[in-house]
Parts: sequence; C-alpha cells; structure tokens
Amino acid sequence: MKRTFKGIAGLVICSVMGISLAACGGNSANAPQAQNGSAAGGDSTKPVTLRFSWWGNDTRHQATLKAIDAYTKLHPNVKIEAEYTGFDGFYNKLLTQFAGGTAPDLFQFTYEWDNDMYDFLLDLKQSKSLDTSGYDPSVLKNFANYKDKMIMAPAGATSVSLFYNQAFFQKYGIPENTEWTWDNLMEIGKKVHAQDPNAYLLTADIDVIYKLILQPYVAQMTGKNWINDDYTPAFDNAALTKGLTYLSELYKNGVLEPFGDSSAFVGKMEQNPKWIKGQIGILFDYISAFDKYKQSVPGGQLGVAAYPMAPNAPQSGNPIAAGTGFAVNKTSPNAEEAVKFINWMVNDKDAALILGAQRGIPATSTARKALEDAKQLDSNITKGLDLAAKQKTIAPNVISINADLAQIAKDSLQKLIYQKETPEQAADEILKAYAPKLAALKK
Amino acid sequence: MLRYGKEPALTGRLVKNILLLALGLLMIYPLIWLFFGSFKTNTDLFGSLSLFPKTFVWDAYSKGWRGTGQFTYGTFFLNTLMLVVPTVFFTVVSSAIVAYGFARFQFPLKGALFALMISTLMLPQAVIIIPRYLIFRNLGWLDGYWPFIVPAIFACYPFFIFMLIQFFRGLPRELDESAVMDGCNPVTILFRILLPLCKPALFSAAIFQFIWTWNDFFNSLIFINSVKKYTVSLALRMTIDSTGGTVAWNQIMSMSVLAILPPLLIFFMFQRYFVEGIATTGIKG
Repeated sequence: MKRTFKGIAGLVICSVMGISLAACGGNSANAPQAQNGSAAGGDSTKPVTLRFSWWGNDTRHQATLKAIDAYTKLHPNVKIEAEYTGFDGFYNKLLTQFAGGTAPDLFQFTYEWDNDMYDFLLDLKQSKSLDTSGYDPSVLKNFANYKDKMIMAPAGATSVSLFYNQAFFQKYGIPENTEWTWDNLMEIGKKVHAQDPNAYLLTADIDVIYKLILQPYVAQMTGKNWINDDYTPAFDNAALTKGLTYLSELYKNGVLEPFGDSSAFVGKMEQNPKWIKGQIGILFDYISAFDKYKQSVPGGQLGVAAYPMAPNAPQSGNPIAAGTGFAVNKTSPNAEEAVKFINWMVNDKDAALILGAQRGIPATSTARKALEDAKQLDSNITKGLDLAAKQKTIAPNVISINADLAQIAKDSLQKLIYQKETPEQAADEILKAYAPKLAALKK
Repeated sequence: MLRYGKEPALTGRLVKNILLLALGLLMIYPLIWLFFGSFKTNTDLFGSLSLFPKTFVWDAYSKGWRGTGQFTYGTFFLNTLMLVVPTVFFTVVSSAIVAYGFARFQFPLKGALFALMISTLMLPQAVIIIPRYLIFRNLGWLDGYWPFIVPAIFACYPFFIFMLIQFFRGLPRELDESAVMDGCNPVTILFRILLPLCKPALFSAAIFQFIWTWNDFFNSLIFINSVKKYTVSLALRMTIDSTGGTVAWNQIMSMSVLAILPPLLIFFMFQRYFVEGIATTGIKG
C-alpha cells in the first residue's frame, strides 16, 4: 500500500512539473498576440504587425516578398509577417483558422469561396482606404461583391484558353489559325487518332471535363450560367443529354486521351507523359498557367488560341474572371492598415512592377498600364485574354461553381465515361441529385 | 548453435540470396529514383521512365537549400529538430512512467483507466483535431511547437504506453522484490532496474516517434503558421502549387533526399534494438 502511494505521488509530481512547464510556454507564446491587440488604434504611425497569407509557387512568393519589403520601407511602422504555402491545404487551413479565430489579418482569396467564407470577411466598401476607381465596374460587380458586400479586392484577370503544341499541329497538318468549334474539334481529333493510335488531340482530367468542357458546351446552347441565380438548373434534360452525348463521343472516337491514363494527372496536366512527348495536341486551362505548359512541352513551342465556340452560340461560357484577389479578416484589429496595404498592392505603379503578372494580369487600369509601359506583360497571356474578351459572355455566378454540385456531376460523368450509363441515364441521374442539393443550398 | 534442418546447398543459397537482393532492390528503388530525380529536369522527370537523367542538373541542391530566399532549409531543419527532439524525449519518458504504473501497481479504477487509455488508441486523428485545435488556441500555443511537446510530456501517445506495458509485464516481478529488499523505492526500481532492461522497447518507441513526428505533415500544417517556424515537411510543400506557375521539382526532390536522411540514419543505427524490441514485447516471461 505504501509503495503504491509513493508511486502515485511520483506521477503527480511529474505531471505538476509538466503543467508548470507548459504554463511558461503559454505565456511566452501569448505575448506577441497581446502586443498586436494594443496596436489596434487608427493612428498611422503606431507600430502594426499584419499577418498576410497567400498560396503560390516560388516566383509568386518571391515577388510578393519583394513587394512586402518595398511597402514596409515606405511605411516603417508596419511589419508584415508572410505566411505562404502551396495551394493544397490552403482552403482547409483558412477555414480551420476562421473557426478557431486565428485567421491572418489579410490573405489571398478567390471568389469561388464567397459562399463559405462570406461571414468572416470585412466589407471593403466600409473602408475609405481602398481606391476602387481603377477597376472595371463589371469586375467589381461580378467578382468583388457578394450579397451587397465588397469582400475581395481582385488582383488579376484570367480566362480559359486553348493551349496547343505547335509541333503536333505541324505533324498532323492542323492549321494554327483554325477557329475551333466543338464540331471541328471532333473531326480533326478523329483524323489524328486514325493516323496514329497513340496520339490524341485532347487530354482532360475530371475537373477539366466538368468545368471546361461540359459546362461551357451546355452554356453555349442555353446562353446562361450552369445554375440560375434562383437556384434552379439553367439547362433542361435535353441540353444536358446533348452535352453528355458529345462527351462520350469524344471518348469513343479517340479524340480525348483515355480517362484511365489522364486521371493520374488531375490538376497537373503538365506532368502527363503523353503531353511532354508531344502525343497530345490541345489542353484547356486558365491562361495564367501558360508558363507551366510552355516549359513542359518539347522545345517550348506552345501556342494560344481561342476557346471552342459553337456557331451562333449566344455566349461563350468562358468569362474573364478576376479569379483571385485579397480579402481582409473581419475580426482583425488592424483591418484598416491591412486595407491600406491591399490598396497599395492593387493600385500602385511600383507595386505593379514588382508583382508583375504573378496573380494574372492586374485588374486595375493603373497597374495594368504600368506593366504595359514597362513591357512586362507576356504577349501570349494578353493574347489569351483578348481572345476570350472578344466573345460574348455573361457574368459567372457563385452557385454554378459549388463543390457539392460538381461532385454529383463528376460521379455521374465517370459512370458515363466507363460506359456504365448512357448519356440519357447520366442526365437523369444528375438532375435528380441536383434537385434536393439545390433546395438545401437555397436556404 | 541451433540448427534448423540441413545446411542448404550452394545453389540453394545463391538462389535465396539473389531473390532477397532483388526484393531488397525493389523496396529501395523509390529512394534511388528520388536521388536520381533530384538531378533531372522537369521534362525528364515526367517524360521518361529511365533512372538516369538525360541532362544533369547540378544546382538543384544549392538552389533548393536557399528555399524562397527568406529562410534557408537550415532554418527548417533546425525547426524540425526543435520540434522532434523534445517530443521524442518526453514521449519516451512519460510513456515509460505511465506504463510502469499500469504494469506494476494496483490502484482504484485501474481497469477503467486502462480501458480509457486503450480506447484513445482507437480514436481516429480526424475526430480529435478540432477540439485539440481549440484547446491549444485557448492556451495560446498555436504557431509554436507546444502542441507537439506538451502532449508528449503528458504521455498522450497510448500506442507507446501499451507497447511498454507489454514489455514491463515480461520482466519478472522477482526483480522488483529483490530491489525492495536492497532498499529501492518505486522510483529507483524504475530507473535503476527496469528501464535499463527495457532498452529495446524504449529505442523502438523513440525510433517510431522520431520517424512519425519528422514525417508528420498534417499537424504541422494546422498548428504552424509562420514561415520562419516551418518544419521541413511544410517547407517541402511551400512551392508545390497546382494552380499555376512552374514547380522546380528537382529542387523539391533534392530537399526530400536531405529530409529523409535523418530518419534513415536513425533507423539503420538503432535497427538492432528496434528489432529486439518488437520481437520481445510479445514474449511473456
């Protein structure tokens, strides 16, 4: 009995030691946060620490770090802590941080998250520090605003483009100035595959199939978005069936690389060995990815062409999107300082020259002009955007890019691709599954 | 020496060794590929299956080490050590103490507490991550290494406790009794008699914990924000971005090669104890 007691006492002592150690750590970790809080006042000379998080690759990190340096030299009272990483996991981490009340003061944001994060974001209209005069009003309306609040300051414009391998086109005698329609895509694709069974005109992962082939194809028929603003599908069964039939024909005729081969490269089509070896002619992706495809294709011979359009289509289904930008955490004690920094990043000429086109072509006129004057814009990227701008298009809405709806459609698409379902069955299945989901989202 | 059956013939031994060699090569091939991959260009990496690069890239290591320019991998390795070393140390110490308690003492509610401990072993990570995050936030420990070290101090790794309990049970109680005769108290019994005998199990726990913590990505991602506090596993993901831009894969691979070296060395150095520990926890005295 005595021995037992001593044993327990030993354990208790150990745990008490543990607690006191832990408490020390807590205090020291708390200290900088408390400092942050005390600097909350609006005085512009008081020292302020801002946490700024973004995602991207090496060049974007370096450009942004340089911009931070330049800004803190102009405003010595502001200290900016950079938190940067790759894209994967960024969304989950940001949501966790919002839930835990530990989100950074400002961060890179995309309008695709409007619906999920709306409640946590500052209304930039309330802030006098952001000059929005350089933005195209339609960009503000379509991408910056959501439910009557302005939650994002768009950083740059991008749109979907058709990338093609120039050597591939020469080999199969495809003119580079072809005006692509869905029909000639099918015809030429058939010929290519007939000449060489290892070659395919097109590759696409499941995201591209859904977002950049099926949705625009249907949108060019209906002239509307994927989902209407009143949460009803903007297409009927017949239109969807037609789109799905076209898709299954692409596979049956060997126009699209077999799904099993391409599905290993979701979101990283530039790593597809067939593309690298020049056995694939065309890719669809956002024009901002030009650089990565140029580096992956043999000899860097990459061309940009207009996205396929059906003749007489009322709209292209390929809007110019100010996809990403900056948003501010509503609960940040230094929100005003964060907005000032954002204002500098999107409007200032020097900032534009430092940031370049790392977040797409700058969305404000002053920044874009600064880059054009300094001849820093890649002509291919401007070309891609101009081609997309020429087509008639309508503004995208947030409900059309809902992730749950995408998952429903992708599940059925895979059944279609593996020929477990006919286009008619798949269309029925998608519409049936959409109804309750849309009803739930509307609430 | 013990003999099991007949000594195999020369040809038999040859066949066996060649088979083992081939199997070993198959196992280690990914590592070899990773090593050569760090000298390849992106086109080479994704365009061909051959092991050797067509064009050698020599500067992947120096460029990769520099990171994005703000902090070098020196910082990230140091950070990882600052996280991993205390975590491993406290895990081993605290788990041994708790296991000792369960293995050698009778106390009220022992059965219930043991069942509770085992049930936390079954609990999936995903279930507890949010409450843990909230607790650590309230304590003000986020963006630091306390969320890793403090649970280690409090023996929050039931797997190791369980492993050590099994080992303690294998040691004869007579040892404790004779130690008491010689004037030992429970603490000195643990540190002077039992722990030296437990070396294999302790090393196994340390090796496991080292490798798991070193490789851990998810917890680091959730709990650490500042780039200057990034661990190696976070740093490796820093520039992998699927949304645009080019990723210099050879730099990431070269840093991956460096990142797997410490766990690899630890494993090979302490392999002997590790095998003993695993093998003997199952044997009852």
